[in-house]
Amino acid sequence: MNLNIYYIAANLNQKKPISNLILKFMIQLKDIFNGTQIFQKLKKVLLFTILMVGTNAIGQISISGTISDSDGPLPGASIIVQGSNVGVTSDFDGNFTIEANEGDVLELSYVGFKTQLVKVDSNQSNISITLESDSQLDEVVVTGYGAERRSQITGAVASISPAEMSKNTAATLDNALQGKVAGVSVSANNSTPGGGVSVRIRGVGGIGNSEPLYVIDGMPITVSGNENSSPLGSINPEDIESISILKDAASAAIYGSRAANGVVLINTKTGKRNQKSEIAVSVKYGVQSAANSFNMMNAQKFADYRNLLETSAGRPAIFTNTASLGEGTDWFDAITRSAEISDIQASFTGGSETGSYFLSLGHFKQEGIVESSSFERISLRLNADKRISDKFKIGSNIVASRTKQDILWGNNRAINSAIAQSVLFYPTIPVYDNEGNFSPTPANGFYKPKVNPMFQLSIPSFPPIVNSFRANVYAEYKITPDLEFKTSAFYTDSNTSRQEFGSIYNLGTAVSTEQSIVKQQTQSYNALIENTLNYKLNIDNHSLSLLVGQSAQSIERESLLVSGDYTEMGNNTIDELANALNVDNIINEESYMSFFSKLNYVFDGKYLMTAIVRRDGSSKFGSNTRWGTFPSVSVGWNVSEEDFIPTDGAMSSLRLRAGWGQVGNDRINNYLSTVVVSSGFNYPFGNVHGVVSPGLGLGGIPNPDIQWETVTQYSVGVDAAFFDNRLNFTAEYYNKTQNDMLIPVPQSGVTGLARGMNPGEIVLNTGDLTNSGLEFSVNYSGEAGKISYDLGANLTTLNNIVNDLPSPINRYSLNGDFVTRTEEGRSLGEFYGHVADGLFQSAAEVSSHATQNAKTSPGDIRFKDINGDNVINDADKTFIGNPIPDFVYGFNMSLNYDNFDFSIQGNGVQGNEIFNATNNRLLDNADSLNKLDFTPWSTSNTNTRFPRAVSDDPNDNLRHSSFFVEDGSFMRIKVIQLGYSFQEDLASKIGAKRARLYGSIQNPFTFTSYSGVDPEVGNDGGSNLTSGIDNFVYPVSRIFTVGLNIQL
Amino acid sequence: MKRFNYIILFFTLFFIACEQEEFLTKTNKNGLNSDTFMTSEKQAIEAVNAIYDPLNHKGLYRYGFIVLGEAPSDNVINPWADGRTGPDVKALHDFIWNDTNQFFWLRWSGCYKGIYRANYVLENLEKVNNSTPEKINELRGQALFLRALYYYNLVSGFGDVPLVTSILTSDESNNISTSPAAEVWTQIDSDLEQAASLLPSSYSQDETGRATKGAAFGLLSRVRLWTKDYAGAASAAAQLDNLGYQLVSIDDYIKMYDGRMENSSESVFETQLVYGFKAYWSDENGETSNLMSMFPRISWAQYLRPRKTDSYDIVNMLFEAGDGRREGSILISGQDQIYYHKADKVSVFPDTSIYKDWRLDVLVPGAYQTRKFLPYDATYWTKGGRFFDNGVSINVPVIRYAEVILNRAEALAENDQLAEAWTQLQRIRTRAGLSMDGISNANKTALIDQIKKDRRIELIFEGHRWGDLKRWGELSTLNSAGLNYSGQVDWPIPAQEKAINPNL
Repeated sequence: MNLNIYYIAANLNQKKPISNLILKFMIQLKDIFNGTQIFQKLKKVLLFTILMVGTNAIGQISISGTISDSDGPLPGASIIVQGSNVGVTSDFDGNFTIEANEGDVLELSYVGFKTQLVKVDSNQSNISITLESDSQLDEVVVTGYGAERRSQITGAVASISPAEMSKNTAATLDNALQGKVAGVSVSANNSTPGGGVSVRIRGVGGIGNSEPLYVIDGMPITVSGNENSSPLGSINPEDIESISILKDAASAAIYGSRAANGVVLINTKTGKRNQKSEIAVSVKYGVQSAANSFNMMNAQKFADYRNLLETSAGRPAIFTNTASLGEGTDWFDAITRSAEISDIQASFTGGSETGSYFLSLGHFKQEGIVESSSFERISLRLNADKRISDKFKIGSNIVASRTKQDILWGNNRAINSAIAQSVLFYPTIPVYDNEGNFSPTPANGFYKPKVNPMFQLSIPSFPPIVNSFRANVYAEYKITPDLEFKTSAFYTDSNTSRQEFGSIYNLGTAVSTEQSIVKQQTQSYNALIENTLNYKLNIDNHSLSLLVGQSAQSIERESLLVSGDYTEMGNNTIDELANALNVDNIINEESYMSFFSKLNYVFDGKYLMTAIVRRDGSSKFGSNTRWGTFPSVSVGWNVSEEDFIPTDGAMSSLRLRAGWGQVGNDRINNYLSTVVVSSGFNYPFGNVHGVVSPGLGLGGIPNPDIQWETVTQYSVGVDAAFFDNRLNFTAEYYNKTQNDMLIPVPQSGVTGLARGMNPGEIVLNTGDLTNSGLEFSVNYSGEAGKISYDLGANLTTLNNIVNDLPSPINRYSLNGDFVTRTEEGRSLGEFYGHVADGLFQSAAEVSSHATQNAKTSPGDIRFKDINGDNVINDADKTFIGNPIPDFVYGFNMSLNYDNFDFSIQGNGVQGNEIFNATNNRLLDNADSLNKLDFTPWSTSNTNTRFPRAVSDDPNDNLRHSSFFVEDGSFMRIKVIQLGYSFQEDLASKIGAKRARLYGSIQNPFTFTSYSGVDPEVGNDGGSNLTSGIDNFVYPVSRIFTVGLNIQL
Repeated sequence: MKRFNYIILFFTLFFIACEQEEFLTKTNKNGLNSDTFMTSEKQAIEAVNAIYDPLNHKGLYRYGFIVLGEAPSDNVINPWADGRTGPDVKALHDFIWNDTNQFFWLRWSGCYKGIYRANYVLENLEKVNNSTPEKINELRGQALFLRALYYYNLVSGFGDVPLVTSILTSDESNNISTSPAAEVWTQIDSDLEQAASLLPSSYSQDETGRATKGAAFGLLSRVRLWTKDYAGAASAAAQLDNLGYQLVSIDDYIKMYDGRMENSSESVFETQLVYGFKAYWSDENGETSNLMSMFPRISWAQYLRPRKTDSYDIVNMLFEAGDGRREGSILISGQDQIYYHKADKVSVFPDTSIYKDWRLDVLVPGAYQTRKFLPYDATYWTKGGRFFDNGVSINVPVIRYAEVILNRAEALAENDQLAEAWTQLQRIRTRAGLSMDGISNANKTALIDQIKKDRRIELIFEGHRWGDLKRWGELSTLNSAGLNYSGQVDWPIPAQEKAINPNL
């Protein structure tokens, strides 16, 4: 009883305002009522009230101290005299003062940390305690414009430890996100080194650019859907300290108009205060080879098959003595190689009382497994800060990098790609002729005028080189201990230069008489100024923080492309004498102005609330529509902190969360609200070769009303931990609706805006679409004897429905018809075509079936007569497959035994389909190129799914149909790694503090029923409307790596 | 500390007070401002140039003219289909006319592109403030002629189509209904009449290719055959006699199609094609045709071969002995001579001692190959760099004087002016090296049949055949060639257009 009084007294001593006192009293009351023994507590209250006045404190010691964790002071920790209700919480600087009796035991606790007990000793009135983290449950997580403890986050924020990521040998960090957290699905769009990746947060995204917003050390970077190159290529993954993913609108709203697809926050490493200087060196070396290959006809089989096609069409055979051709050339084998990968990193970190630094140098180089593809990055980073005074701190992050990516010629995934042109090339032609030169393509009328693929790949290429420089400087000033002002200035300058040189050659039927030159320079600059005020208030059980901020950003990009031809080789520069001289100069400018505020409120460590509002103005929209406001609110309840929840049972913590918010999507081209005059509608009056008269006309229709797309998301989640936090479990439901989607709406040809096969389009705010799903993640850490282990898994379900769309959107033209169709009531980018229903086995079957084609014969594919009109035509097309998985998942396991560590990471997708356009081409009989190694239907081979061999395909077996749609589910073991950490004494022999040697295999196993080379085909051009189409994608490589990390 | 507070104050005030709207307003610097466009004569000319641009797009005279005009006809055989375009060419030939066929869409969208640009010019010519009335008239005349030409290319194929003569909003365009073909024909007729009165009869050398008075009258003569205004057709055609056109000699006939005699004295309106811009495979960029799809030294280029089947041999059936147009139109393997620059000699087609890369089908003696639009020099009949570029830059005739004379002959005959018709036909046959023996001006039907036959020969592979058969109501004659048009007369409106516009 007395204790309560002391409690008050202690606070009186601190001379806190009386209002605080009252507040504290109310809280105390509430605390009291929280207990299970309500009546007993009521009595206490009564007594408390009576005794409050006039009783004196006797025999007390005033103890003060500081509570911190490994990162510094810990505000809001609770200090309770054990067995009593006397308690205080630490202030913003982790300081506390409490009165207790000699011999009492103080209980120092904080959610997520191991509780510590300290016996009160009259000789020690000042104590400093560092709490140890209980588990990763309460790590500090970077959130928008700040960092929060996991236990106080109300939104859906996932974090990935860089240690987990670095097990993966990937050129770019987006790739390494795969399978790591629930709600984030990642697929490689092109497995070329440094290739593009689609990252989707909560669902598959929408019709337009669905990549998340990346915020790197505070600088927001919008990236586009990409296939050939990852936009994050210039970032060295080894420099990353933390990655947080703001999955829901409740947390992402702080980035307002650009946060519709979620936000990936990346902070780079810094030195720590009072850290001894340390040098870390890591070296990694690996060898890669193609994980799978194409199963093509060999030369003899190809020649026989070709002859069969010709003779069945009544033409003479092409090849004689086919047996002599033998195996011939396996062109896929010819263009692929065993390729090296190396990664060398050195970093220097350290800190004094007033400053710290992190300096790193990195060199990453990956040769592609296909000739003439590679990626290389050199990066240098300096992060440093300096405390000028107790109140004033300045710092900067500076990085310079150079990347060079050599990608294959041709389109990324298409019949013109280097992969396709090689795989399809004639097995009857050797790579080299007898003199060791590249074999020409025989000019005999049969062979297409295609050049030897190895020759093509041997032409020296000049990959795009990106030089980028990014820097920010910031100053933080504590106006009062609770009020901090921060101002930051960011600047990014990057230059991309690209050159392409064609070649003059004469290789049989394939001839080029011109050397073409393309040179392109793209200069971009991005500047941002940001000011924030951060106010924190901790009064007893109340913890409040308020952020207000403002930012202005300006982005400019200018690209200049010059191309032309010369009739002689050897030109390195381009001048006005070039033929077909073409100049293309494009300028893009955009700017943003933003105001934002975020309020966090925590009561008693149990009840949490976050509210965010951001107001953004953008140059992308017209003057009437350019401002948008994005609010969000989320609440959390640390249920297990309640007294009525027993803490001694299996459950160690339980938290419920719910959030709602709105964010915007502004991923459209600049200037859509107005229109300018387009040039290029030229015409060659006078009929002089190489001369045109310029033609100008309106190239579009302005949309002055164009506005943000609004994404409204709500989600609920539960976080639970069991068995002393060994088992952690999180489940969440999300529902994300995009309204007023920014959609390129196809226009009637009558508008006069069509371009080739594509109708003119105007971007309009129309339609809506919902992504929803469940996310689960579970993690268990345990020990068995000397083995400690960690098991984790995550799973995300994906539901996508287009609720409203003005007209269907068709995409991915193949053989003049579109593969996907996005329509109201269905999900994004489903495959559209005929339903294949086996093969006709007899003439009777053909004649009794709906009419397909006059010359349809046994061995041709039977298509379903969907509308029942007894004719198979376009009206019988329907939806034949969905590229969106039912769920995606990831899993990992790590074991530690003695000095050994072992880990496995994997991921998978389930329930999606792939349109195998590769097969469509590999079975194309009208084309003289090589074929899939298959046996066609014939009267002696009726039990097959492959249609008959007929040269001009009268039944149009190659039309888009379910024949080419396959189950795309797969499970991949992504990485297996085994490491050994040297004993300290052993390490010291080589002068190191620590050393670890490891070996790993990447992509060792893939389990799938998909018949193509690899089931991870990603999105064409990074677009969700052209997802799951396999059309000669770059092959996945298997990587064997050894590495050594040393800390000096 | 105070100083720092000032800094905070400064930043806050600076950003909140600075002209936000100014900061957020970015002007598109990638083109001229659309509000002030077409205020100068130079810009007006450039806007008119843009109307011509779709002429060499794929749906029109880049490729569509021959695919839509000849593939569904008895002039060709096309069993071949590969790549992006092939299946649609074959489908047209086989009379499997789906509304997804790219050629319907490319014709449709190509024409409306031209019409939109013409309407834009016609609506904005008033804004031009530094020009002369003569120049404005000339520009207006060109816009009217081209609008009529594009509408002709639509209505003759599709029948009823949306008739747009002003700039529409996107909503209006996306919901427009078709107008009866008759209304469209009326609009064409009136545009051409007006154009003929505004246009000059010729241009300076460097303006070659622009629409002339003769072009307007020439097209009008064709259009009036469609509307059965025979007197009008004849009188429009007759205008050309006073405008200086002349048929070239039969020796030069082939030169009009092999690059040696572009914009000849016989040319009334011709699509200008030049090399040097690449983009051969584009549907609309570059200034070349897609006629490489017939080149005998490209293995896949087996398109639109002159029709020769067991029961139908176009050479035997069509050409009289001594008809100089035969060799100018069709190459016969192992028989005709061609020029090889590589050997600098004229030699038999195909000479395997000079080139080995002949298409397999032309190696068969007696095989037919289209001759029109093959470059003079067989060097260019292949793919590869500049040769190829050069090879596909042969101008495509839109209106030839010979056609206008045939229009006149047909109109006169239909109008019962048989003698006059006979005289006009004689001009054509004489140039071809043929006599009028056995052709009487007494029998109207026989005379018209002869005119039709000579029309087919004269204009073979120039994209007239299917339209002529349709106009004459004679599509069923295709049966005798082993083709069946299955009752398909009008092209279907493209599927993607119907998907956008519910009113089509």
